[in-house]
Amino acid sequence: MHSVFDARFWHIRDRADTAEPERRATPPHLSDEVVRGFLAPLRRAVIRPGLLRWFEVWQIRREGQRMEALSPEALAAKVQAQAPALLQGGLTGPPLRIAIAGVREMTFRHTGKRHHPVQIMGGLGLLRGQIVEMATGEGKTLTTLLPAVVVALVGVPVHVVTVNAYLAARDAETLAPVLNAFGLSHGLITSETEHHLRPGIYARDVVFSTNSDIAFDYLRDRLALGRSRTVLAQIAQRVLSANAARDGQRILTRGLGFAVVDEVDSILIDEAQTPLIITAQRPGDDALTAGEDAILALAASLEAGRDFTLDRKKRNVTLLPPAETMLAGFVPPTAALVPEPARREALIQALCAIHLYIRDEHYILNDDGLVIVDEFTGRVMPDRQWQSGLHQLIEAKEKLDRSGRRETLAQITYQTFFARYLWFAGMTGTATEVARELQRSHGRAVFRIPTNRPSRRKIWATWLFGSDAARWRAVVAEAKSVASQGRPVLIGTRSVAASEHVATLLRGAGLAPQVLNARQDADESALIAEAGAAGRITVATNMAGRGTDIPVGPAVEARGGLHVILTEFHTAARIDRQLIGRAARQGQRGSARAIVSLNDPLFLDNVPGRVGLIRSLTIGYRGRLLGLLAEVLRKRAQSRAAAQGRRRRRETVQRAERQHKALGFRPDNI
Amino acid sequence: MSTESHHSQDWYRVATTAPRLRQGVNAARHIYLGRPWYVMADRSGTKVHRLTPAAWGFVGRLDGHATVEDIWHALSETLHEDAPTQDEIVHLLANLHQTDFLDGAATPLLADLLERRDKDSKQIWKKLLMNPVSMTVPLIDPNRLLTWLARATSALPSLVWWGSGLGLIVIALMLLPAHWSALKERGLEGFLDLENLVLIGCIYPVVKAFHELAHGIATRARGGEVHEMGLMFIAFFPIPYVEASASLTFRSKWDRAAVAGAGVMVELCIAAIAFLLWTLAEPGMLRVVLFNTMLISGFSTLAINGNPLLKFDGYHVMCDLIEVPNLSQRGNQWWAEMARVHLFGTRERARARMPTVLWERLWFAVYPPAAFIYRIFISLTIALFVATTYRAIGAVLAIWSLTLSLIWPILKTTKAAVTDGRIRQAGGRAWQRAAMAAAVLLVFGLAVPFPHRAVVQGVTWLPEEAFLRAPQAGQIAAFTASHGIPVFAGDSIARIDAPELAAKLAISRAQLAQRQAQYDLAQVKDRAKAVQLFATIADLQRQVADAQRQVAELQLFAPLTGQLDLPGRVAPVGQHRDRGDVIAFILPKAAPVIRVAVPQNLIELVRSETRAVEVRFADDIGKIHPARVQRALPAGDNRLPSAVLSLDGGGPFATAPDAGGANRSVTRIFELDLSLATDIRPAWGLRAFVRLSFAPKPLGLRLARAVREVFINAFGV
Repeated sequence: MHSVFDARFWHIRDRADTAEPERRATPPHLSDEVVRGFLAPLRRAVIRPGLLRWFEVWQIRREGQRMEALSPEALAAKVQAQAPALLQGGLTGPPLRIAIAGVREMTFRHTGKRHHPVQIMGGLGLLRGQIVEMATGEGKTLTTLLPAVVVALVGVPVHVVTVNAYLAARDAETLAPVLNAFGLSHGLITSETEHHLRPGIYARDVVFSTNSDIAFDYLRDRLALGRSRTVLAQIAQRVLSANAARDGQRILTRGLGFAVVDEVDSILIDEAQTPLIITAQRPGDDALTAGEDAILALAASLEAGRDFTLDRKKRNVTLLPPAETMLAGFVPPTAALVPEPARREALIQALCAIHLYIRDEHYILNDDGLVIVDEFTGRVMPDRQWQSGLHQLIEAKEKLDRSGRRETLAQITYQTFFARYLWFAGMTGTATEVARELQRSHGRAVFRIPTNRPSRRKIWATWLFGSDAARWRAVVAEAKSVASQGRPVLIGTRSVAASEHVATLLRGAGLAPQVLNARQDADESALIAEAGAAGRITVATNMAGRGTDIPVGPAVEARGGLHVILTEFHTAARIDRQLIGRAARQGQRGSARAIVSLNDPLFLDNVPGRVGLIRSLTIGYRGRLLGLLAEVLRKRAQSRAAAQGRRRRRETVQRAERQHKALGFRPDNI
Repeated sequence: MSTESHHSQDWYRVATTAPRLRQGVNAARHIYLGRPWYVMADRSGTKVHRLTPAAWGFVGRLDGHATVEDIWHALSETLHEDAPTQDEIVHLLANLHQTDFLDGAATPLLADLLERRDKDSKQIWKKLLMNPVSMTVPLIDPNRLLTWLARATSALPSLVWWGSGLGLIVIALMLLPAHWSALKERGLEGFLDLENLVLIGCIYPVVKAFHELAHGIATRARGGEVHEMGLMFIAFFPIPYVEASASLTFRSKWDRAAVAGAGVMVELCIAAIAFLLWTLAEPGMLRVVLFNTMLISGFSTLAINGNPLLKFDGYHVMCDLIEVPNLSQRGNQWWAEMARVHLFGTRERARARMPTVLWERLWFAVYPPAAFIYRIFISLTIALFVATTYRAIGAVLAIWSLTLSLIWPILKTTKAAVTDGRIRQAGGRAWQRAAMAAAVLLVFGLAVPFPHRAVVQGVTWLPEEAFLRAPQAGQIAAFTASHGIPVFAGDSIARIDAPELAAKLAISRAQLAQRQAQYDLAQVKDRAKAVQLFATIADLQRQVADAQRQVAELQLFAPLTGQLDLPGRVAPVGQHRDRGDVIAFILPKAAPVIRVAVPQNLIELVRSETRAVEVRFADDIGKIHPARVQRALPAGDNRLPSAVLSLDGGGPFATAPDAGGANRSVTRIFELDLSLATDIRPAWGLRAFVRLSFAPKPLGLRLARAVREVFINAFGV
């Protein structure tokens, strides 16, 4: 952690022994962790701006007034002139104020919008490496601009990280004019960016990208460099080798300087449960395919309850003695299945493939074959594969061509990855629930910034139904009645299958919904742009939740604005809030309602006892129940799911650390 | 080492590496219980690792060229069903890395080397901090000295050495009973006094030096190398040590056992010699030194160093001889596995479990609990012994050793259970089962009352009036009653003839008459003298009255109604009795009383919680007589009610010989009078075994009470 007094955040003590800037990721000592654990409850996890901060903002605004008369060139020159002072004295004092005020003024000239005081406050927080919580719709993209320009001026590589390519592209587009005005270059990297172009883009001052792209590129670099990543080795190579340039080594990134992470809770919490894995594909052979088919056939002949037990919540299968007997008698068609543990594991995987992984919920089938759907974002993840042969077994189940098995080459968790930046900041609309955990794992409190204008969002009472059918009927009825008032409706679903089901029902009711899910990924921006039109009904998976700004016209707003219907609670309340946050942005009007069913997996998985109790009390009544019950169930289920998630994340990190230590004989260990 | 998963998440970390074994690491094939094992050791023999043949099949191929992946595939083809899983390989490599047996084939990164160095130096500090009372300082390379000594001792075959050592010990043991009382008398009095501690401080390192040299010679004589000798500071007290772990790679179990056992043998020989010399030495400094030498080497060997229940030499000897290496650790693992499988109900498959044979399981079942209890016992014993001299230090030691031997293992076990992946996989069911087991245990320990009893001894007791004692020394002249007849209070029983008493009476009377006459004369002649004589006359009158009373007492009457009991059954007419001697008893009609001596620690229970009392008499031990408490004396005393209860009389109480007669107990006792419910008349003075049943109480509370008692006795807390 940097010192409070040294605002030169790039000056850190524990720099890694690499040519490019990077922090040495040293796992905290056990003693430190214990002390931190004890102290954490004593410290505030959420801080609010104090008087000094407001004074600073006021100073910057006053500084800005003096600049209003400057010509664009003079403005740019004035800001650029602060770079030496900032480099020497750090990001503080008058030079910083001038730079921030200059950026703000320049933004006005190009976009017509000046940063609000809360945005300035947020920008300063980001600059200092804080996790900033700003309510949804407060203009986080513009806020990013302040730290991005100032840090880039100092010469530190800046990464603006978002959760998906759409948002990255949008941010790049919005901010490009201002960056250009200051003579700063920028680039956009998404999964579609050609590999040979990437080094050039990474060399630019500000890079917009997604978390997975940047982390994968980093891993690829580490793999490519291997043991010659040290300063000495790099200098020797660059000076002595025939290919005396960075590209000679196929290096993409320019080190990990400063990152502004948008939707930081999604990246550091939701996506941190599984490490990011870089793999090499090994083509499958016929023997392997035969083995998969054979084991799948064996698995299909087994009966749940008699031969094995399923645990849907933990996604895990336990074999019972009859299955063990069958397994012992199984003659494997391939040598790979000869060792007893291998055979056993394959059978368990096959059972998982058949019973626990469901089409259109966990994966979809498209032209490319089987594609995983991210449970959190509802987005497809075309480059991902389930591990240890599970993917191939599911392909076998769906009678598809087998893709090659992927073997892990390197892996990293997002927690570890972002901790390697010299310093990084985060932004989100929903950090409160995870503030405690962020504080513990990253040692920083959440900086909560008030809204610019008071919210006019109305949350309507939750409806709870005893059956799915009743719930969908209610959803359709509500969508119809709200849409008939000339208001746009956004219906959020948890899975791709659900979104299609509700769309069919809506069509059946004579409505014309638009569907936004993993399958219709491409026309996303067009759909979103139209989603705010009067009477429009849009059905979307959770993907619509993050960062998307559904524009609502003044006429529509007058009728009450966007109405959001949650059809199912998510495992994290944050994600529910994200979706609700689509309505009533920036002080507009809007409303939201949750319409849920007792059969929702969230309830069944986490509070089966209470669901059973309600069922027996209502004697199987399928209609509408007391909405208050839903809130009670939700609270309990979400807190249980959150605790489980926290434990899993902690284990992921601890396990990586432990293995890193235990297998340290490999010097190029990532 | 076996784990469930065939594929390992961490395989990528090792798959493409080509590590090789560090130079100087080599392996020897050992046979344990008929199965081959490969024991790897580095050159100095300080780090040792035991591998199964399958694991060795993998490790042996680590040559710096073949990658881990290649070797694994090759193994899978040769071993078929039993091929090691990726997880097993990863575990194995991690273990080898931790013992520093692996070299990355290529040059390592400087940063990693530095990190490792920092870690090592941190480890040293950590070790010191975790265990500040034990550190080692290597000083010299004793190889040449030991080589020379080994050559010198090899003049005689080793069997001769062992035989003569054993002979010496046997001789000492044979002489021991003859000197046992002298040793006992000497006792441990003053053993921990400061001057004696200084003496011990001088003797112990010398004894230990011989002990360690024996290890060294034994190792060297069997071809092992010994390159390190130095000082080990245990509790800041320097003790020599020899690094003899090279012996761990010896193939023959007898060789390994011999190295570990040599030290014990030498120390016992020293104890034997010291004892033999002690029996010959004159009192003086030399005798004190010999006594201490004998005590230290004898006690420390039997109770600590040579005792297989503590992990010192004796343990290693035992492990080698029973061919169960690493007994303690594997025993604990076995118990953990038993707990997991049977208590938590983790459905672990045979393949994933510890491979054991019956012989090993027997040891695993017995050894860890025994060692656990013994560890607590010995450390508490030492602490309590120290507390007899230094109360504060003893208290600290007791707390420290209890923490180390009881609380720490409990915490560690709990943590292991909470973090164990297998238990977690079993889910809530596992914890339900564990909670149930804990609840059962708690109910048994704290709620279910168990019968609570204590057996104490007493005697059948007569009231003081029942003793017909000789009032004056004299001869029994007549006996009017005979044995066994009923008498009534006031009946004349016997007459004692005390001629000197009669003579004394006559003399006194004569003197009185003389004085009276003199007085009468003086009244007339010399008034002044008359006054003087008057005083003596009064004196003499008193003497006469006294003597008359004593004479009157010579006629004995029955003090109470009852049955006359003569010790010899016949009237002791004509026998002489001293004053106070018992002549006869009058056994009263009232029910007999049993007087019980209760040790101090039971008295509170007896007073407040006695539920039932049962008595058995020594003359008919099979018969149980119910009884009840008639009276409990409120104050304690150390006078035993009867010599029957003293240690010499066959009872439980040690008596102090110094003062107060034979019935003076060393410890404080409380008296309790019981009355029998049945109408039997036991002979008086009979030993009675009294079983006191208290209110039933849970075992946990009783244990807590006992522990509290020990601590109150030792530390007053």
